[in-house]
Amino acid sequence: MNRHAKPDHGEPLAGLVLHKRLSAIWDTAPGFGRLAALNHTVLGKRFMIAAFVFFAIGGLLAMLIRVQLATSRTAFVGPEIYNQLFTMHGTVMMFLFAIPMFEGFAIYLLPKLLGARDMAFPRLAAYGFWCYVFGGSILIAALLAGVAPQGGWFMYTPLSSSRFTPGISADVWLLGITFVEISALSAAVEIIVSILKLRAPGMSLERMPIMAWYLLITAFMMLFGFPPLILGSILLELERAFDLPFFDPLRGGDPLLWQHLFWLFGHPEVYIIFLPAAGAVSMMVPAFARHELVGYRAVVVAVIAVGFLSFGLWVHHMFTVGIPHLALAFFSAASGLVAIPTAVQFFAWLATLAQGRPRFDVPMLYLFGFFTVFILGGLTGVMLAMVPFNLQVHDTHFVVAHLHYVLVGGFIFPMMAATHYWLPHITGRVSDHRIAVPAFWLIFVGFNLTFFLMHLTGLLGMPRRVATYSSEMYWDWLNLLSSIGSFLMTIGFALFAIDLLLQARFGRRFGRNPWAARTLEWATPTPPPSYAFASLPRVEDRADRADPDTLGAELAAGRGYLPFARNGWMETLAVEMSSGRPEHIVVLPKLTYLPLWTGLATGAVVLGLLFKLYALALVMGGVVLVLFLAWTRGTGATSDSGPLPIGHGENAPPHWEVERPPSWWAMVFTLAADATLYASLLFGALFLWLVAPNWPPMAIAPLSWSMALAAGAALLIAAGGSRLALSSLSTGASPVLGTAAAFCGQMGSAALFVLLARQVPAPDGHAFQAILFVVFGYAALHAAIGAIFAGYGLWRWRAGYISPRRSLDLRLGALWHDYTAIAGLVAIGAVATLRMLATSGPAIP
Amino acid sequence: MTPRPSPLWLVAGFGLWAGIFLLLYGVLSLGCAFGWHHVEAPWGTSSLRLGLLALLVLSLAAHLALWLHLRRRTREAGPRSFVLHVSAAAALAALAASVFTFFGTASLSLCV
Repeated sequence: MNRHAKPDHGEPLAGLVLHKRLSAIWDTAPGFGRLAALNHTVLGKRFMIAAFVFFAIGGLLAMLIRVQLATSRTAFVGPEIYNQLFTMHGTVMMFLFAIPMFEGFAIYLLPKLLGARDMAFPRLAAYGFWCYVFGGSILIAALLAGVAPQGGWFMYTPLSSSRFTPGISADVWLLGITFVEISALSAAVEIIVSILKLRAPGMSLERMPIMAWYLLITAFMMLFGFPPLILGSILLELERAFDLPFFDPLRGGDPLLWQHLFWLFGHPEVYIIFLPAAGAVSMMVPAFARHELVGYRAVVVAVIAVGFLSFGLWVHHMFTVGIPHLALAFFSAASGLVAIPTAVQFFAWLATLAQGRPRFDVPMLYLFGFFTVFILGGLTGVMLAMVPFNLQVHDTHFVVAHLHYVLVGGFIFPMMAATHYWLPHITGRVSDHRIAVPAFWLIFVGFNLTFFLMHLTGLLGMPRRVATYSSEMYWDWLNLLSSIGSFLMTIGFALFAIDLLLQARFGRRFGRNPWAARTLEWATPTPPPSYAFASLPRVEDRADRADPDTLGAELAAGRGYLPFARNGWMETLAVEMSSGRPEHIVVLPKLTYLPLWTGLATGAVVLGLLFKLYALALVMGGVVLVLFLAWTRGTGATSDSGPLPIGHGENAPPHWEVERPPSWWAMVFTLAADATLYASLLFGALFLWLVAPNWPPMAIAPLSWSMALAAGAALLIAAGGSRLALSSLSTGASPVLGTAAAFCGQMGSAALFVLLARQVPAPDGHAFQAILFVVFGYAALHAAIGAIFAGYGLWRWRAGYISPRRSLDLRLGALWHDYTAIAGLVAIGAVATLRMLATSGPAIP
Repeated sequence: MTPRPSPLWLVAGFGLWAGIFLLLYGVLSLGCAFGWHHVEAPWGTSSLRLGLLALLVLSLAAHLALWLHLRRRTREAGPRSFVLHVSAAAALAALAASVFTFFGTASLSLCV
């Protein structure tokens, strides 16, 4: 039965009948049907497996680096290849391993931790996965073809400009990474909405498992941290492809703008990587200490503090670029300060161990590695936060040592612990093998041998990113030992991988909850079925005080919420954000190949841009749009159903009949990310005006005020029209007039902004003109998308999907129209202000 | 029944810290670019430093007011109000963070 038909009210089912009916609805089809998978368990595993593959590639590149540096004057690879090796090593590890690994981890675990059946937007997760795999494949293909990026993982300008890096290698990085970041941003939105809305009934904020807090804050950090880098990548690609001089100091640009935009992302990125791992630690320590986490509230405060403080540190990567002492002090103080909330978490873990009755197992061994290695990395981090010391060791191997202690200590060791902890959940098997123990010691000893010695080579003055060095520097023996250590570490990682494979294939099967944990994910069968829970739990206490053994049996017997297989719907529950009161039923989409096709089409856009086939890119952009519109087929309903039973004698409406379903929140958070990108662009404009050389421009671009005011008026008509449509609908009248006004307003403003952008004289002549061009382009793009939203609303009304109770499509459009109106008016105001400022530059250049 | 406090209170304290950071860094950058540190002000200081100090004092007062407000609401709500408890603790931590991060405003060289 589909959603167009009158829904049945569902009969509670129990036991095997329920499992069979749910499996028939939720399971991924075999064969090629796997490509249509949307299930969080499947996608989470795919993300993690792909991330491990990229980790192996990144590790292989590291081995080649260490071979090259093992002795002085090595002729193993030349400087050009070496540059590609270290650039790709950093890029792969940061963008293709760490972030996607965390995404996969979150996608797999979150619904089970929260007592839900799936994530909020399964198709978005699938699309994110394909974007990640295709984007990563472009980068690896470039490496194999010998045209990999070679400007360092941070792609500093002017080195990465077309003058100093001709060819496509830098474009591969800029476009490939932006492609992958689509995946990260979509994951961030999905994680936030899933945590805030898709929890078990009764799970108020204070009852959430601590991991959910960590993932929520991490996802918010991604939401606000990634847009500056996406903007930077777009601007640099515009400079490389169309000569718009945002980073060229000869034409009013500034290379430092790139550094600011990159590190505005880059430093929060370190904590984006660390916090999920710390969340996993906060789950594992209580399980092995046999005591609930001590200081739950203090840890929540600490994680919030880390989330914010991490955005105030970015300039510690730029201490040497010439920033006033007082500003350096702000960033230095914030860099040191972030150690305090991190320490709060450490003390909470130690206190949990001290209060409990700890028992030892393999994950604890890896946690020991985390504790020791990360603390050492943290200590050198505080050293580097101090400006005088930072100036001494800037760009030396000391920094390489520090960042590896932080990232390997703060992510790899806890994730290896987490892998051993949750692998039984994934496979349903526990390990009888003890290979994990020698694997740990090889990794631990090898790691410290490799990287501890780099502190010394760094202090002896060895710079980063040099392909070779002279024997007269006396760095040989330290580098040789580092290289030996790295090979030991690699053997350890190989054993680790073998152990995982053996466990997955030959491990001993177990019943439920092998670690006697107290969190909800262990209440699912293991390995988990596609629907995670046969019925959803009611949470009466903190979620880390559950009894998975008893609860699991009850839920499997259908004694929880939604013990139905109603209408063939894939149902889960959404709750009120704070209290956890059941609010509505979320009906998730069926299996579809559309995310795959959309990912492929997006990949074609990227390749079109990469090879300067702009017509192809444009056409494929249209295909992407059509495919996204095709996603909406079958969503929503053509008749009102009203509240439906959800079990326990309670009722709730389906999500298309409520005011703020998950998709409404997703739009809010997407617009927040969009606004961050826009704010970064305006910050860039002010930065260039204030700091960049060769300002003011020779001539100030004329602006057609009548056209600008008409564009602003059109935007207001669009926003007003969308409100009129909603108001009409609420009284039972047709929303066509208002929606048509919104459509016409957006079309008109898009055309006017395009004309305004075309009026900017020679955008390649000066950064000022280039900025105006991009600001108008941003407004035009948003107005054009607004027109699509309005047109879509008209089509949905005609197709019968919209009624006074079912107005979501129009309300999503209204959010977009409101944002576009604000952004467009800000664009006009910003351009006017910039024109004024450009004629009254700072007194001291 | 009293409505539950908004979860946005959780980020109020550190949101304020971030706002102050942007404000002080922005004014410092503008002041250095426009030479406000050369403009004399009372008590033998420059107008830039005086302006920054005034902003800092106002900001710290806002921090304090936020914390006192949350502390009062926490006491009224009782021990089970998780959001208010955590918000008040975060606001206090953010106040301390602001003092620590920006204390150099009073003495460090401005535009060198």
